Amino acid sequence: MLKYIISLIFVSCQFISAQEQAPKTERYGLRFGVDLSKLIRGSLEKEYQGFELTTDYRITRNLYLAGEIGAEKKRVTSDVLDFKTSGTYLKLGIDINTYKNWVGMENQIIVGFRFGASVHVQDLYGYTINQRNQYWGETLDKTLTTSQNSQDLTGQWFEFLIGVKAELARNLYMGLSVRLHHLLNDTKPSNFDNLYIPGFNRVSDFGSWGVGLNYTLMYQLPLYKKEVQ
Amino acid sequence: MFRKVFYLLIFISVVCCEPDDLCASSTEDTPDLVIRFYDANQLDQLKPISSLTATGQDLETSLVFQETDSIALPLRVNDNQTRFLLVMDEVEDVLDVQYTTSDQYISRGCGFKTHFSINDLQIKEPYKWIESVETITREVVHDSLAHVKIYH
Repeated sequence: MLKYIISLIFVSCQFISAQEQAPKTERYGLRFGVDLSKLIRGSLEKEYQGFELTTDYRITRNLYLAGEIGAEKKRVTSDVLDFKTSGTYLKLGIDINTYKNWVGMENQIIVGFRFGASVHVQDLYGYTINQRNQYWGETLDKTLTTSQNSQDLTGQWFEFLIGVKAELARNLYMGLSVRLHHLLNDTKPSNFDNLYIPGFNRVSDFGSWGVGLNYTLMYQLPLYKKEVQ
Repeated sequence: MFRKVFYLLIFISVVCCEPDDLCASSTEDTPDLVIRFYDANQLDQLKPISSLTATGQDLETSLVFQETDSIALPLRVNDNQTRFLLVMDEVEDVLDVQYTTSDQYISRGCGFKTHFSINDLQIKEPYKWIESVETITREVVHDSLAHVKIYH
């Protein structure tokens, strides 16, 4: 069905341009929006709250300056740990559109990268002592009466992403991207670790890789039009 | 093309779930107190025990060691002292260890472990089968090395 609509638009565009002999132009503008995936996750996951604003600015035909700013709060309760991380982050980078649109359409298949940085705090509420020889039969779960609070924690990372952006209505875009994160540097709490970094997501024991997802709704503020060469 | 990429991204985001962090059994956990047995007549000679029963104070189950020159005794992590009754050939000596604990982070999968710093370690007077005791190191951090020598 979509195919027919697309071809219909294509044909009609051709028709219009043939009629009017108008030069082909593309719109350049500033897009800004919100990451819906964090709001959805917040409503599904009890111990998570997150908000992210996202923006991009078209520089050349296929090159966009892009960035995100956000805040996250996440409490992790596992078999052996109970902690909460909260903080803010900023990501800046480049999106490259690799998709050749038909005339009049503004969709993108994007490859891009970001540098991300966070400032966050962490509270450790409890943990389990790992003692394999449980001869004494003691309780090995420890709940801290006052949580171990770590301030001024930071993380810096690199993200590689692939994604799509589709124009739903005039100037309204829906975007989806998946991201591979690689932690470059972080300030760790003493006698603990950064196991969750706002913007980076979960940090695993195995290497410093992470994954992320964003699902955005963006509005474009059209600034000017430029003729297609 | 556009739709293929879109479906691929949906697929990746659904399939790409969070891995479980497991605690590998090779990871060092809370160390035991490691005791090696030496000959009271030849101080630098190891002298294996033929059979030794170690029973924690107020416990009914025992740890039984046979034909070995080193044993590992778990210390209590929720207390600052541990007492073991060491019985060899139906003769009983009492080992008292007093220490301070500090909990150290291991990993997401393993949690924390306890390190012990020994303040005092002694055999209750009068000594029975044990001749003397010597603390090699006060820091019980690894259980690959001996912390205490017992001469008998």
